[in-house]
Amino acid sequence: MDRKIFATATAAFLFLVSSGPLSAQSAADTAVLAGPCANCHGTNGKSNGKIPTLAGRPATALAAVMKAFKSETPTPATTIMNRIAKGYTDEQIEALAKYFAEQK
Amino acid sequence: MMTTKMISRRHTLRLLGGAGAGLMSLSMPAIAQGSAGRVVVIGGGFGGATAAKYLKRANSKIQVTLVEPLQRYYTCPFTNLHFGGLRTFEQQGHNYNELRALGVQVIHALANDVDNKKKTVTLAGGRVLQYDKLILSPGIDIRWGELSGYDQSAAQLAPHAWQAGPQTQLLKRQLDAMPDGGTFILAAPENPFRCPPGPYERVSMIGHYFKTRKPKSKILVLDAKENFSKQGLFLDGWKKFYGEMIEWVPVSKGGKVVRVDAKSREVETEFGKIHKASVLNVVPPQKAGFIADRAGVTASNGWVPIKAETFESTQVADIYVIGDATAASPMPKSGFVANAQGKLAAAVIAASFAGRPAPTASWANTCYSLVAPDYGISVANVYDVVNGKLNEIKGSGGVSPRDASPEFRKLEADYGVAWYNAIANDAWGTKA
Repeated sequence: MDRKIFATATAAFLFLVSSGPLSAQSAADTAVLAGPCANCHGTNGKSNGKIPTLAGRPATALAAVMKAFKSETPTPATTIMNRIAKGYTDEQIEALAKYFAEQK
Repeated sequence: MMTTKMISRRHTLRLLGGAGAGLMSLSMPAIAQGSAGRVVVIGGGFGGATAAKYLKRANSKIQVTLVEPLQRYYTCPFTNLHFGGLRTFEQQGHNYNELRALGVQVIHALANDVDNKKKTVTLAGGRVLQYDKLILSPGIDIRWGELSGYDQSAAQLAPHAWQAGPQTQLLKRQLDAMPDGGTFILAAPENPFRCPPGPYERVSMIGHYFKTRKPKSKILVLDAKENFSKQGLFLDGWKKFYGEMIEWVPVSKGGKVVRVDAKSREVETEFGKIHKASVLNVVPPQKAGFIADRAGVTASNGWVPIKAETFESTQVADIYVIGDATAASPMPKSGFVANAQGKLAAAVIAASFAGRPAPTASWANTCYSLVAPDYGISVANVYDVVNGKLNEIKGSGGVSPRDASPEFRKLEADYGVAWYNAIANDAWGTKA
């Protein structure tokens, strides 16, 4: 087998293993987790109204905001996100932040 | 009836693995012909429209057929704002253009029957659709006659307006025609029913209409329950905006209506008291839409039991049921939840066609109610599955604080409208 093809195949295999069912939060899981967000923040996190857009914002910023919502001292203007953010683990928040950062 | 204990399709395929391509193509014709699988979705509301869209998003090669009688679908959510004079009826109307553009075959017909063994759906007029997976999002049907005197003809005099459309318009006409000083009575049902805060938002909005147009009028809520959704927040808001105009009678104080006389617009309560209304709105007992019964997925209590992880029927394999028709407690029967369940069912089916395991289930609900034009309240929850059961995640969710500032209430009123525009865009592609 050509060395380059072998390397690519190995990398692909490793990728499949690392992103497959063994990982706690697969891409499909994250898409499901993100599903309800669209109901207020818009499809793919692109808002068509007063509720902030999530799509394309830096993952670190999104995660920090969600964690602040989840904390005992949420941002002063918080209305509902403090109640919702408490339903997600930090790992799920990181995955959601990455997901929405990648949406266009 | 097919049971879930039956050998699964995937397992069957595995068994047939060595039996040659001929048998394979007989076994799974759609996939053998280059499609990723055939899904029929019955019902084009929040659940069905969303499921159809998200199936196409997951894999455009999935053949998706949506069956919905209405060319223009009107949502129940936000019709209360129409009663309040804050929105037109047409603002709750949506079409299926975006779904068609995504490649969904939209058929405007009534689905009359399902053969869960042959995996076919028969439409009014006789057309037969074959499916690999069926999604039912049929909403509710009224249990006609369960409340004495309340049948289909009674609903023409005393509307329920709990399915949007002509019933909504009838109730609005009656409210408009009512003289100042009249009494509006709403009879609220026992749990479970579609949109738990709905009756209470409705009387709030009718309170606003009366206050601004017919200030001598009264509102009486006769309730078959002792408690209701966002109760403290509603009661606070009613007192603040409508004073003595709205009276709520719980079941313990004789609130349960046991007989309706639609012609005289009178109701009799469990305690034998007769109340006469100028406009009578009966929110009657409900059950899953009839097609669920035809498909063999409805339980004896009238609702559809589902597997928590997938929303596949517990009674029939390859039929997924979403929205108000399901017995999905602790999730409420809300448009938000129907949409969230539709996305999960779509993801589960797409994974199944691709031979992948079902993704981990997760849902949320957010429900805004408008008490007065700039005064919104909400309830939210996040759900997962624990030990095979739907679970409200501890510590999450809850209702708006009772001591919130006017600015907070104004924001929630605005967010309610923003929610409607966002979810209408998500489900039907409607531009705000």
